[in-house]
Amino acid sequence: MDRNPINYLNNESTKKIAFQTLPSEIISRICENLCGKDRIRLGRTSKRMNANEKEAGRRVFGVVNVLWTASEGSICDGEHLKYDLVSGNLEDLRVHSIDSNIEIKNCFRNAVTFSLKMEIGDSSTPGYFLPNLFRTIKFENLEMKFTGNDESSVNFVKAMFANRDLTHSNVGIQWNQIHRASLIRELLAQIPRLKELSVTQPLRSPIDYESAEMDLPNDDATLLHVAKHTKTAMIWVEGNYTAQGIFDASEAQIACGVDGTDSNGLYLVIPDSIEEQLQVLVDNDSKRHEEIGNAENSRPKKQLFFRTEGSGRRTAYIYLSDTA
Amino acid sequence: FLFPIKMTSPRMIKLTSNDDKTFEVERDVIKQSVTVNTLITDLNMDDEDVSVENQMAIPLPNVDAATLEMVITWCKQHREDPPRNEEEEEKKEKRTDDIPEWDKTFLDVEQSVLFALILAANYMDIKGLLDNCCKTVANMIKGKTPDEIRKHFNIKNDFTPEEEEQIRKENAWCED
Repeated sequence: MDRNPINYLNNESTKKIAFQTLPSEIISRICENLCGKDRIRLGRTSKRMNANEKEAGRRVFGVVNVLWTASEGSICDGEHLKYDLVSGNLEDLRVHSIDSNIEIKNCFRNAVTFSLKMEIGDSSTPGYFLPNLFRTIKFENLEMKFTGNDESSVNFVKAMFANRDLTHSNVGIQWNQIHRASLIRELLAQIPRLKELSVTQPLRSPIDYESAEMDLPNDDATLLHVAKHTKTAMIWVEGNYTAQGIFDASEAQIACGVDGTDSNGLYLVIPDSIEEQLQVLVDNDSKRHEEIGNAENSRPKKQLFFRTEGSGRRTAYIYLSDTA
Repeated sequence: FLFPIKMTSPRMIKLTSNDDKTFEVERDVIKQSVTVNTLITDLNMDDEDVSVENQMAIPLPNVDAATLEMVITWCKQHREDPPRNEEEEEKKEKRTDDIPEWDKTFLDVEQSVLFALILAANYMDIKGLLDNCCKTVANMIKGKTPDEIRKHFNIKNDFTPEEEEQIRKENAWCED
């Protein structure tokens, strides 16, 4: 029993097991010990390894918080990724991956250094290197929080979306100051297919909001695009919505079924004036579906809830109920 | 005063490999296998009244004799290891330069033997062995180019030249 294992080298009873025949769970476990660069290189060896690497890539970062400090220069306080984008100070880079692999961290530190070297020449738009750096990473949860109302933060978000498969990702975008409405609207109109989208910025006062001239960050057309591209959308910015626009968006979200599953709904800040109309539309829809009864094309009822937020704003949650 | 010390022989457990070889191993040694441990408990095999001769052997249909012998050798070496706290292990920074020297030598074997050990450790749920085996394989991959990895593990390149070029471009950012 205490024989040297080297003696087993030629033991015929040990089947010749090859690396490629190892189950995926074992390959993934091996990959957990590799930095991003080595994982990618392994992924380039064969189709199976590539599929495995892409799957594992999703696990590299469970949550990435990118925080943007526009002017203060204070260090960002992110949960999983902290980076002072303005000063570009590499000492402040903190990468906490799910598996807390020190080598992954080092890999990314090196990658950031590399990107900085490449782009330092035109660093007037700090942060542009970061989307490039992450362009091959898939996110389960991508949270971007921005301080200040620096317009380039919107471009940063667009760059993070560009050429990236986010179909299975939850994306959160949060600004702590009010942005120009047209910028947000433009961004929402370009949202790619996502699992869950959350957009937040401070709400205007109800008086401003009811003003007809007010340019608001969302509207029916933009909401329709968002609904078609998400399973769940929480849009905590105001919109010039009509009741019909919200109802149509909800229908579109159900029809599109992002991620191959049923819609989980739309959460919106709505003008008080459309609340009644929206309720009527949803009630009529419910009646229609009750009439269809057991017909093959029947579906669960649409549900609608209103709530008053702390800010005094009314919000609506429109979704398809599983239980109806 | 001298008190008589009750000398009790260690409790033994029988394990049978998929090629019908039976091994007797101390209960205390094999406790590192969660799979075996669970079976012992579920089958009430900790009953001290049953002698090892009358004891049922635990079949391990996924492990051959040579691999099982290596697994037992590893478990003997690590019998004094403190129990693993999986939550703590998860939090710890993962590194591959912390494989104990004994394990490094023990795992310095032909690839197929190492892979057989990985599969056995996975099946028998021996986290420490599985971790060190996976780290050993990871160390073989580290710093190698895709071509070197293919050569090392005899991996067949099944990409078309176009696919390979596409993947190379996608990942160019991480290459020097």
